[in-house]
Amino acid sequence: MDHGTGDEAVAVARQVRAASAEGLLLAVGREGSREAFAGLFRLFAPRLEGYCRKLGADPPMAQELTQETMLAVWRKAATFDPASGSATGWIFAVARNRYIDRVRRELRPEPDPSDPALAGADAHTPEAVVSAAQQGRVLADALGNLPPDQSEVLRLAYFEHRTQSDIATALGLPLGTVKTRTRLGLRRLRELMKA
Amino acid sequence: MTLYSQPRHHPDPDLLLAYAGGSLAEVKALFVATHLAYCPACRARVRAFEAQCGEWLEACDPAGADDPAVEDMLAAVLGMIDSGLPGEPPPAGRTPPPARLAWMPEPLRSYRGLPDADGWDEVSPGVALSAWSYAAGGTSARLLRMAPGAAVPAHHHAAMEGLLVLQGCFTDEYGSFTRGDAVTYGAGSDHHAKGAGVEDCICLLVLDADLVFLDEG
Ligand SMILES: [Zn+2]
Repeated sequence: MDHGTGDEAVAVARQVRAASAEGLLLAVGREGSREAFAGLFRLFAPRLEGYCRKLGADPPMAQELTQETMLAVWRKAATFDPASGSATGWIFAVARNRYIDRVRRELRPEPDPSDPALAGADAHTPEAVVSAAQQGRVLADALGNLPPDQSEVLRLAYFEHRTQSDIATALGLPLGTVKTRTRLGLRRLRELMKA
Repeated sequence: MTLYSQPRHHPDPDLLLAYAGGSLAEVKALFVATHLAYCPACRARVRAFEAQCGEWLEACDPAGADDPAVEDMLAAVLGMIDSGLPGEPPPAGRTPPPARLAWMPEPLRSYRGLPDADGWDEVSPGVALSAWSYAAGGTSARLLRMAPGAAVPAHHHAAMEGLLVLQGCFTDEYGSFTRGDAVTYGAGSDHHAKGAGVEDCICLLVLDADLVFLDEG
């Protein structure tokens, strides 16, 4: 299975897209640029709609969620901090919270960055901040380096919210195989969290 | 405040991934999010998982990718922006939680009725459950308080149980747990938690089933 150059091209394309998403989001947040917002919209709205459909929203609800998400992106863009995460991850989180609120009708409990009782925000040495960031990078690398059959079942389970038996049907695999791949992928992540 | 030490026991990656991806139901999300308030490392882990989900989002097939529809939607959203539609309620001026809860981090401190409920029901000498509880989607949350040396009575363990230490420390056959530590016990596992240290240990307790104490110890 040698497709090195293809992989490289895909990786470069992804970097370009990620850089452009970050640039556009920053332009929206810092300058209120409508042009940048339109760029973000054209890039993300069709994908958000597709994603909401995957999560089970009917077409009108998927459109509504997409519009509400993009409206929230416009409103909250100034709070995006490139030092604390990727632009695409930030947009994903906005969409996820909308989905939880509108479709599941649940609260989304999250720590409050301005909470005086939040640990580590102020009481931290620079070393500790760096080591926390490293923890994140270690897991990001681990997810990226899992065997594709393992990362695929994790994607379906945690990104598309599918049950194990649903995944087995979708991939045409025995349920036991899906469970094994999930377990191996999670075990790798667990090992890295202990390291 | 004494020296801050990072938690040594973290939620399982299954919980962190499900929290980041959004499939985790609310009460367990409360458990994870309250741990995050104590744990910068897990906050970074959740952000890493969100970044991965962002990449997966970018790789999604666009739905109804006919361009006019996207341009129509864009025009509609820009129209909403221009007309300054409220759309979203202004952030409610959150009533500050009572001072007696200042030691407890968000999101637990303001969560669903907790600031208004005071009081404890003793279940055995030195062990009490909060009068406050909240249940949804088959999972319940409440607070568990153990005096130093007091052991939680035997209880049925038909489903997942999670303990997150908010104050003090406790021990059981799996280890010793202090502020910010999160530990989950699978269905059918048996453990005997006991308050340790010099102050009351208070934990957030989440359970996938009703809590049933056995009559005989
Ligand atoms: Zn942690």
